[in-house]
Order: sequence, then structure tokens, then C-alpha cells
Amino acid sequence: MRVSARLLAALAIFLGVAPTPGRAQSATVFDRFSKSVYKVEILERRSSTPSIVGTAFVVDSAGTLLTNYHVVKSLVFKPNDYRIRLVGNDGASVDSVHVVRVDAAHDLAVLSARLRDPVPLHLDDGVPEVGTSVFSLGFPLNLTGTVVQGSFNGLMPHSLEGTFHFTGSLNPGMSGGPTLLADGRVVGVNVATSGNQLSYLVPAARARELLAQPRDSNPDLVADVRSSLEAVQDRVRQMVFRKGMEETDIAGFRLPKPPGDSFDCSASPVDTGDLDYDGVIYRCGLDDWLWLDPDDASPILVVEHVVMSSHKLTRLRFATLYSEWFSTVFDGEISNSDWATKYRCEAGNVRNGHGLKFRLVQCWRRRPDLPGLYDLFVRTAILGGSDAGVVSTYRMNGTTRENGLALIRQALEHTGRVR
Amino acid sequence: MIVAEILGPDGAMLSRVKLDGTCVVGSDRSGGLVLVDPTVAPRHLELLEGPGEGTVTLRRLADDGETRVGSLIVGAEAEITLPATVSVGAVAVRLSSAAATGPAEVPPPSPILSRPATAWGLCLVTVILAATKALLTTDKAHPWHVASATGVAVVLLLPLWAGGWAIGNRLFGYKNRFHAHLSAISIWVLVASCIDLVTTGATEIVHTDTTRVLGSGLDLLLLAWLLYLHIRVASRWRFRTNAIIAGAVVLVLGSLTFLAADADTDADVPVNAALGALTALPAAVYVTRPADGVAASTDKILHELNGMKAKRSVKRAPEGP
Repeated sequence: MRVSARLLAALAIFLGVAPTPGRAQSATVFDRFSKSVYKVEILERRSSTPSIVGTAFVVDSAGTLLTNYHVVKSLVFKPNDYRIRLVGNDGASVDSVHVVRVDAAHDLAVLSARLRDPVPLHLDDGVPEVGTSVFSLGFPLNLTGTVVQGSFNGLMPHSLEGTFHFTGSLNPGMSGGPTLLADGRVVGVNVATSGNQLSYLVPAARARELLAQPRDSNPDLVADVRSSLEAVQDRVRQMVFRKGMEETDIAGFRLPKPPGDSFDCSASPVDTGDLDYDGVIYRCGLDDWLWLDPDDASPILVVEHVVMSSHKLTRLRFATLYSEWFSTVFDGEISNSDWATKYRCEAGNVRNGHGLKFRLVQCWRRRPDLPGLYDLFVRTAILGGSDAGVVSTYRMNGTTRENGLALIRQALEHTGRVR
Repeated sequence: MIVAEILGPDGAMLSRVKLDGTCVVGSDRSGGLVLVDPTVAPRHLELLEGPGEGTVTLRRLADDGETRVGSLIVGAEAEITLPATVSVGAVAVRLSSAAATGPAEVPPPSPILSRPATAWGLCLVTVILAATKALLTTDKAHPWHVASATGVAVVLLLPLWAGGWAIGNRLFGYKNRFHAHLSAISIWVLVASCIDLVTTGATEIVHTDTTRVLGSGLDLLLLAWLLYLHIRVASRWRFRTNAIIAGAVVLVLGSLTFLAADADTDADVPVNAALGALTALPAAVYVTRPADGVAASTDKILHELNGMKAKRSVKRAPEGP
């Protein structure tokens, strides 16, 4: 899943979209429930021009709406630069809107608006059968209200936060819209897509939990964000570090992998070009992403090993090749963020408890808006081999110091040679 | 108490310092706020707290140094209200009162400025070692020898070391710290042999067993220092092959140094060669620390990050007077 593909909030993206052929059932759903759905416009204050567009839907008669956290994130952190506006399917706009609660972990936000005759949708905590027809409503690419028919396909297998898999075409701008059954019960909130009709929903049960939390008249939304991200780190600690990393054997090396089946792991051969060596890239990640930046999603934890060996390259050439792999940072591994400091790195040679020596680089950057949370990039290379070695990369975003250190410790201790 | 934040060209804060009462701002290191920039005069301006609360007075000291507050050029003296951004030459400094900004954090050392400082620190230790050796191995009754040996150390070593750094930095840039160390070590080895020859020549005038023992001990100390420098370099080298090459270079240079400097008897030759060979030791084992020590590096990084702000790409509008 690519980060860019998950951007549902329309940020100056204007692509052509072929209209979905209408169906009688879709038409009925749209007619009955679209009046509960609003376009969310995050406006740049000085120009009153939309900067981000998403979708929200009404959940009670008091004018409470649900949307995605990533739709309103700019507003949460820069209220002086942005304001929010809702636009109904009839074109009427509502300016009296406030963000009252956010959950960055599940990518949800609660809005309160002064709506004329709000028509709430009912949240359904259940999990429909796989194959059930569901309908997603929203405002793709800042267009008019749209309904997309698709099928429900259960829970994502590699999700820390419990995301639903929806087979249907979600498009940028539909973020925060409802996906509902034909009778109007909402099963999930539109959140992301990988293209090719692979789309994702936040379960309605998560939304209900957020709605049940007490609301402050003067909410500290940044504190909400921080506490929800800290909760993610608690879950990571429970799931990964408390259990301890598992080990997998690849080409003579024993390498760490996240425990259980919670992570999606894949392997592929390295494209070695003309050079005479073998390489395997082994990668594990979660299906969940964190919206630490308003326009870019970050993986929670990624583990990647590049196992290399060659019996034909000379020691010096292999060392050069190995060194290049170690020092190359690939696209997307470290990107600049307006919301974080630059990375600070420290390099050194370390040895683990088994006496195996590594070159280790750890790079951290701070998120000033979220004290105590950092992005971490770690790269290790096993030292001492003349014709084989492993370059490992570990990335954690929005991590605490303790989880970051636990990652480094466990990464080193669970790496070794197969005897 | 005034807080001065030195801003980079993109408006990001580079460092923050607290200033007490009156201080001189300029490129001269004796000033209270040192701004190393060609557009800043050695004694550019004087900064005085007051006269009112939350105000500061800027007094021009240099005829050729311009100071601006927004679009206003400071003449002889100007009183400004805090917070304000002042352009000292081309360097932007944001001034605010400590009460408004809360306790100033300890600024992280600027990576560019801290490296020459490290070099000077290494240089100072080397000079002290060389001077100590000269002091102890030369007859106390001949202070001229002590003075001359120390003087040679200072006169020869300091500029050459600094030159090594300057050349290394010119060629490779400050970002590549190990090149700078390498050039400094190479020059140190060459110069150490000259100093050793001078000081050995001095000791031969009044050579006693005691001074000879002391001399050997200090040779070991010098060697240990060389080893330490080498470890610093070798630990930054990524892989064994590179580290061994580095070790071999130091081995050859080290052996030549000791052979040339101390080979006053035939018996010293193998001893000194062996001592020189020891310098290659770190290359063979290349330095590693236990993984438990990683947390210390992490905390060092996190401490540095505490003084940093997010790298916003949005530029702020220029402030008026």
C-alpha cells in the first residue's frame, strides 16, 4: 500500500474520474441518505479558498458529525490559518462548525455544527458478512455528492487498529464519508484507498467509542491527538516489544521479524543489475498508517532486511557494494516534514549479547507539536563478513523514546548467523 | 534578562542564548553574543536592557557595521520594544524578554562551529602533552630548554594543526568529520616527530635515568593519545577493510615517527616499532560498544532535538519596525 495512494483528502489533486454507472439500489440509497452527508472544506483563512476537502456525516439530531482526523488536522494545529465550512448536497453552506474531539489513531474527528434539520445516520457496531453490498457516500475530488457501490470484505488481516476492507472505488475527497448498508446503517467511515477498488473503512464501533467520550466546551484537541498516538504506542509495545520479536532464517542469517501474523511480510529478490551477487529484500509492515502530517501518512512500524552474498566479488568490491547499500536512503524512507525537526543521527559500531558486531546508525526527529513523540530511522549492517551480510532498516513513526529504544535493542539481539 | 535567538536564512532558529544586562554583539569572541559572519564587525553593537520594562537599547559601536530593525537603520542609539527581530549585518537575531519566552533551553552546539572547537581541544591536549614531556625530560636547571621545547610545540603545532583542519575542511567540508580528524592526525604525526627530535636533542644535554624513564612514560602517553585519535577515526569507518587501511597508514606513520624521533640507541628501534604497531590495533578489532550503550547515544540525540524547531517551509512575512 502506497502512502500517496491513501490520500483521500483532495489537496490540489485534480484528476479526471469516470462517472460510475448508476444502479437502482444506489440511486435509492443516495436519495434517502445523502441529505445526512456534507462536504467538509478546510479553508485557508486569508483567501477563503479550500485547502483540503473531505466529507462528514450527521450522527445525531444535535448536529454532531463524524469525519476523518486527517481532513481536519491542519485546522487542529493551525486554527489561525484555517477555518472549516460544511456544504450540503443542496449547496447550502454552514460556517458555524467546530471540531470537538479527535482520535488520530483511528483517524476520526467529531464535529459540531449548527445545522438546519439534521438527519442523523445510525451507526451499526456489527460486522456484516463478507460480500454484503455496501454504499459509500462522499464528495470525490471536490465534485458533487457521489454514491459508490461495493462489497464488504471483513477486517484487514494486518491491522493494529482494526480496519475494514471495502471493495469499491473511494477517491480523494470522500474521506470521512459514511459507508452504509442499503437500509442506511453505517458500517464504517471512509478512510483510505490503495487504488484498484481496494479501499479501507474505520469500523463504526470505533466511531461510536469516540462519540461516547465526554466532550469539553473548550477542547484541547492537540492533547487528544497526543493521547491517541500514545495509545497506539502502548498497543505497539504490547503487541511487538512485550512479546519480543520473532526470528526468521534467510540465507544463513537469523533475522528479527515482528511477532505473530499481525504484520504483512513479503520477500523479493534484489535487482542486482550486472553485478555478480545475490540479494533478498524481506519486508514487514502493518496495514495501518498514522496521519502525523496533514498531507502525508506515515507507517507505524516497518522492518526491512536486505540479505546479500557473493562468492564471485572480491572482498573489497563486496565491501564497497555493502557499504553502498548501507549508506543509501531510498525514496520515502526519510522525507522532510514541515511538522517535524530535521533528523539528527548518530553512528557507531556496536556488538550484541552474542558478540556479533554491527554498524549502527540511529536517526531521530522530534515533532514539536507532539511532545514526547519522535520519528525513528535505524539502519544496521552486520560487520565482519567478507562475502555475505545483512543491511537492516527499521522505521517507526510517532514513537516514544522507550519504544524506539526497545526496537533498537530487540533488532540487535535477534540478529545473528545460523549455525 | 534578554533571550537572543539567532535565525538562519530560512527563519529557523539556529541557537538561543540568554543575555544578562549589557553585552557587546560582534564577531569578536570576547563579546557577549558572538556572530561569526563577514557582515558583522568585531564589536558591532552594544545591547543594553531597558530603560523601560520589556525594552532594549541598541548602541552602535562599529562605523562600518549596519544594524536594522525591520526597515529602520539604527543610528547611534535606538530603543526597541521586545520582542523584535534585529538584523546585525546579515544575521537575523530575534530578541525577546526571558519572562515572555520562559526558560531558555540549552542550545545544541552548532555542528559547524563545534567541530573546529573539537579540533582545538584535541590540539590543546597534544600541546599540553608535548610541553609536559619537554618540562619533565629536560633538566630543571635549564629552563631555557623547557621554554624552547614548549615554544617549538606551540609555534609549530598550533598553526600546523589548524592548517590541517583548514585544508581538510576546505577540501572535504565540515560535514565530513573523519577527514578532518585524519588530516589533523597526519599533521600531528609529522609535527610530533619534529618536536620529539627537538626535545630529545635538549634532553641529551643533561640526560639522566630519571628523565629517560619519564620520557619513555610520556612517549607511551603520547602514543596512547595517538591511539585514542585513531580509535575516533577507526570507529567512524564503516567496515573492516577501510579500518585496516586506516590502521596501516597510522602504523607506517607511527613507526616512522618513533623510529625517527627516539632511535638514539639500537635497542630502542624494535621497542618503538612495536609501540608504533600498537596503533594498528584498533583497526584489527575496530571499536565496538555493547548494544546497551545505544541508549546514551539516543539520549544525546534527543537532547539536541529539544532545541530544534520544526522545519516549516512556509516563510514568515517580514516584521516591521
